[in-house]
Amino acid sequence: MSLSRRYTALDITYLAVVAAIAGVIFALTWNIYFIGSAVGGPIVARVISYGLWFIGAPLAATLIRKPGSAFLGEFLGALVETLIPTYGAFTNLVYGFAQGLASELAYALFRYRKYGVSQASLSGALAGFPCVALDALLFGEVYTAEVMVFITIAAVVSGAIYGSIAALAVKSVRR
Amino acid sequence: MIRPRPTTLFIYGLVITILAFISRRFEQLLILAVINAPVGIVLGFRKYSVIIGLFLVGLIGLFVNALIFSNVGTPVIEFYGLVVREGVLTAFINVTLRLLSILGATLVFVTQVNARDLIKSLECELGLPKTIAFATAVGLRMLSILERDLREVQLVRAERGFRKYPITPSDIGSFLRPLLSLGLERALWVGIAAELRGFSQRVSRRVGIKITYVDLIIYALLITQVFIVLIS
Repeated sequence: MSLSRRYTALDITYLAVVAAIAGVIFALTWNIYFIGSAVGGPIVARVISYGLWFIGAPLAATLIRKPGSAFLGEFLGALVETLIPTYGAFTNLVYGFAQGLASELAYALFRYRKYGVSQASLSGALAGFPCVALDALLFGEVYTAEVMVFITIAAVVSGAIYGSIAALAVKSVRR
Repeated sequence: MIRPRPTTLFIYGLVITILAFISRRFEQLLILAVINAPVGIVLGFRKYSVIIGLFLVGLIGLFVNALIFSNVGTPVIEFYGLVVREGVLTAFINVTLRLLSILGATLVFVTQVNARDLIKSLECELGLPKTIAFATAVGLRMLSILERDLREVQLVRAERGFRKYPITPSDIGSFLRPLLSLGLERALWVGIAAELRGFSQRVSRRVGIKITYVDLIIYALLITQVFIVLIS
């Protein structure tokens, strides 16, 4: 592996920062999800909260700019959230793994050459698909197919919004 | 008292969660919930009562959602003109049992395992890459500092007349920027210190798993559940 693609100790500590921030955001998002769910139902709850659960990947990738950083950012955030622990319990780890892989795809599509706001937005949006698929496994009995379609759109839109916010935040800090 | 190894409980929790995800039938979910939920709730009742409380609150939302989206089949109960059909009860019970199994397995795990021991154990016993192990360990150490930073950001925002809790995406951005800025400044020096101590040369030492009788009981219980779920 070339030096530019190898993880240095500094990259790993940056990943640790992202994991800690993502873990805290993931844990706090449960409150937003419950409030949103109570006020606006399942779709509104997903629009306002799901993107926050996908924020680890764009944060890490925009910051570290190396292959695998999106996956690690999301997965480590989920691992920290599981160890805190939160309402999501062990499902966090399963969701984090799947969402991390999907987010990584956004950067892989650009051959790991671009780490801009649009890639971060795509990374957040792509995480919506495995998330809704896992939701279908977990809550499949409750939601109908039509509702799942709306939920998918809500998750993708939310992921895209928060993905771009994460990238802009990192860019403003690194400037 | 001999405690189970963190790795054992981690594997147990993860496998039970995956089983709960893939189980579709009532009998399968009932077995998982009956075995895991009581043990987890008894162990975690004091320390994690908030999570148990949230689970109970979440059940209300789950029932309302089932009532809106799965109210199909033969009517079961009629309450002030509201007809609750078979589909609602089936959906509600199945999802509740699934979530109960996951909650139970997680509570068993978090009450018996220290996070740092788990990271060490996963690295030495299961060969977790040092990238993940070190990042998680540093991340967990940074949590308390981050919590303090978060409170300071909230205080400053409140003093400037902004919302204390983030609601809009713009709020999230303004919370993220100072947290990232402070976190990266610390991470820079942690990274330099780690590199100076030869982090890149460090090789993870694999040790054999010493299984005690408690671990054996947990693995036996896990294998039994896997077989029951797959056969039933």
